[in-house]
Amino acid sequence: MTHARAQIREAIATRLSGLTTTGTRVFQSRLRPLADADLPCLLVFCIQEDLDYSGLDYPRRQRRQVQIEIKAVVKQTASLDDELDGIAAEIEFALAGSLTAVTLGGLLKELTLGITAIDFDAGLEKPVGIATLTYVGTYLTLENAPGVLL
Amino acid sequence: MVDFAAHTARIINRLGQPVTLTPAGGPARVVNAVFSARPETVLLVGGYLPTLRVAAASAAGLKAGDAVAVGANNYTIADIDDDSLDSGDVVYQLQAA
Repeated sequence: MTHARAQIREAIATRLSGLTTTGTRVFQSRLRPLADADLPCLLVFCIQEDLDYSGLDYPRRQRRQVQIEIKAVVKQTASLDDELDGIAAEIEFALAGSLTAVTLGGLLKELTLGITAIDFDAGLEKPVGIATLTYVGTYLTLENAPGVLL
Repeated sequence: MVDFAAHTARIINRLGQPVTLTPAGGPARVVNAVFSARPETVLLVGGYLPTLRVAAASAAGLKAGDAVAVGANNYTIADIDDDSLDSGDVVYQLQAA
């Protein structure tokens, strides 16, 4: 059984694939170091989930809020912040440009952008920059069917 | 007393390769220096950290932002670890130009 959370992560990665700057370089839960050929790219992680229960009868309904981190990674000699902001704009439009986008085609009740954090490091032959956009996706399941989105 | 600066300069001269240093506003000069590029990973990204070890006497006038050419590769000085008073050398962290 595929967990609903995995379906959501897959749907986000699919929606982000093909953006102007990062193209098809979208990686889920990747931990291996990125090579130059992988860049610029997006990384998608589900990092935490909070649950509330409702109802007294079995199975209870679960309202889940999953935190999804999308990291835009760039390595170049100039305009790192402009590049990261441009990618962030592409991500934000892809995930909020329509009602279908905001609900991931009906998988989510709501998708909201909470925090954008930007980090730089000059410890390589070219500077590296990462913009991390943290989204919160809200969805419903039953406790005995974590793979079925309500 | 050991003359570390002279000792270090001899080692660098023996182990090094010709590199071109171009201080801002000054003429380019070729000196022997030890170039290394060790693999590093920062912020999930793999690459290498290029550094150049130069004898203190050859490092005069170099500042961050100055140009360095090693073979066909061009760099700028990103950071400076000046140990000229003790060991007699200066290590420059480089970035691709």
